Amino acid sequence: MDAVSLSTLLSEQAMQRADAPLIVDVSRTWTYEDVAAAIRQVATALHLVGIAPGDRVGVHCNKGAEGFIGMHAIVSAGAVAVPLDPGSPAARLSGICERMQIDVIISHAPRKKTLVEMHAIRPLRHLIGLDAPADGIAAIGPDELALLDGTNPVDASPDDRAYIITTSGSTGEPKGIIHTHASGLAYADMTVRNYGMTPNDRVSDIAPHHFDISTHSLWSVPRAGASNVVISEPYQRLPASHSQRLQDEAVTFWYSVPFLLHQLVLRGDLANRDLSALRWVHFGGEVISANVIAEMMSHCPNARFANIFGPAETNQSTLSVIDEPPSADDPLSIGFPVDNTEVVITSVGADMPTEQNRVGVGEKGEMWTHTPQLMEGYWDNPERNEHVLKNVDGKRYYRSGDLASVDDSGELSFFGRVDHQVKVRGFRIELEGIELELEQLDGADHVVVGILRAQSGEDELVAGLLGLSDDFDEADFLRSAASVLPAYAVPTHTVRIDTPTFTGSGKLDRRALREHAVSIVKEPAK
Amino acid sequence: MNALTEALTSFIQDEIVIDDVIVEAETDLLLTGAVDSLGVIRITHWMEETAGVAVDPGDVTLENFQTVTKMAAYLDARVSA
Repeated sequence: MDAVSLSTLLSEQAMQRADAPLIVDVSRTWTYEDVAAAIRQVATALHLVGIAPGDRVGVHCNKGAEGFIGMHAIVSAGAVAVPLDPGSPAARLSGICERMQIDVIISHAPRKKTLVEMHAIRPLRHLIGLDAPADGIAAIGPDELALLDGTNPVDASPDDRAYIITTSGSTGEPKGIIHTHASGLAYADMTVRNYGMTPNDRVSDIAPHHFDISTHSLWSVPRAGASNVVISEPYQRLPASHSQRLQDEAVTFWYSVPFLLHQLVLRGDLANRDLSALRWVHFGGEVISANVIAEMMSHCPNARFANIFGPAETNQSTLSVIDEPPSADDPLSIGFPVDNTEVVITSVGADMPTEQNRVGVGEKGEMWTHTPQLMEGYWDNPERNEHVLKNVDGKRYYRSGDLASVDDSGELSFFGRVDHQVKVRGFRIELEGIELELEQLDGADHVVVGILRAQSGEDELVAGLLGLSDDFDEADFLRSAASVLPAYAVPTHTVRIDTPTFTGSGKLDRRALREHAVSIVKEPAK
Repeated sequence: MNALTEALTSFIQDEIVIDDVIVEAETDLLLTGAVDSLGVIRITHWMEETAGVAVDPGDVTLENFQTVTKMAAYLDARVSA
């Protein structure tokens, strides 16, 4: 295969293996040609509504074939795909559309309600994939799509923009991580090469499209000629049904956040399942507990396990293959850089990853990566780009914000973040960003947000409220929070904090207050 | 609707669903996203504590949890078992 961009990846594969399965969902199996034909029709619709190369187009779909087809249709038209979280409220999505100038969205009927709300906030010019959900919204529905003659993909250049992953930012506004055809393809090639993915693989397709883990199913699977087995949202919520599906579809390759594995181990009825087809179990996005790995290993006789590390900005940076069940007090190894990636560790706060700024073997510092998988930069954020992207001797490096060390064999260990970024069920969250958004709501003068870490991996956010208004109503406050924050960032608990604590310089001591808020939920008797 | 089904419906409406989904007997709670993973866990806890049935993890499936009607049928079967 000689694809040099993501735009022709699928059409080239469809010529080789037209009748091979690409998307296996409960109600239907789509072959490579089925998907390629649908992509051509959606790409034609994009041309009809005036989308030109470089334009941003949203994809707002639940897990399934429509989202996959939408993402590929956009890149095959030379435009830039922006997956929009089905779990986020309309106000947040409209904000993303405003900043990225998106007014055409590929979606489907189940997302109707949110689309109508978005249209009321900021008009949408055209919807593709569902009939007009309300008067005044132009749409090309499924029946009209089926009548369109398909257009062939454009030849995109490697450096053209392909897709943008949005992630929580410390200012309360999401950051847009721009990937090019080259950086996306470098990731797909790296995974196919390193994990030996073949046309026989049946890969669990579980991550939502706005989450970077989904690039594995979007780009790597068609690159290998393999199949995606769709695990839709209802299955994810019911581990016993989920594990049944893994067995019935003989899934061979798994990649998810630890939370979902944890759910399978706790409630997946694995003692009554046959998961012998699994050959790779990958997890990443946050730290996993050793007993989850050990338990999962006991149910997967033929699988190798690996911890995947790397932010959405660089796709995947390092890999740690785990052959034996780890013990709880093993160090936090994140393994070795993948084969197209160089990692260097500098002293924290160093401006450039130059030789003289690098720390010695075994010393903790900040991790930088140089890789063809690296993003172009953040959308419309020159200061941030200047801060995290640096050139040294003609090589581009990304400042990850991760604290790490490297030993003399080259193995890396991870020690947390240099900032306040945290992970909740695998989703990246900047606590300050959530606090800022919650402080803008009616109810409290100041808000701190801490994380209640449950043994089971079911992390919950706790909002500590200071300076409550007299008529404060918890349910109203949480409803307002849900109207501006993605579902995973809405606090589960609110607690009242009567006495603020301050830092030496007289500022609110947010770190101490976050811990205090969590401790109130943990020990309610006090 | 028996008393248990009523109590279950109000529990899901008041404690689990945070957006404006109205919980009715046949509302698909899982497909709509009205109930997420944590919601499912809290519902099983509620069944164990309020309805006094032991919920086997292997029973927490689409067949038993997709709608209030299905959950109620499951509870009825467990209570009378």
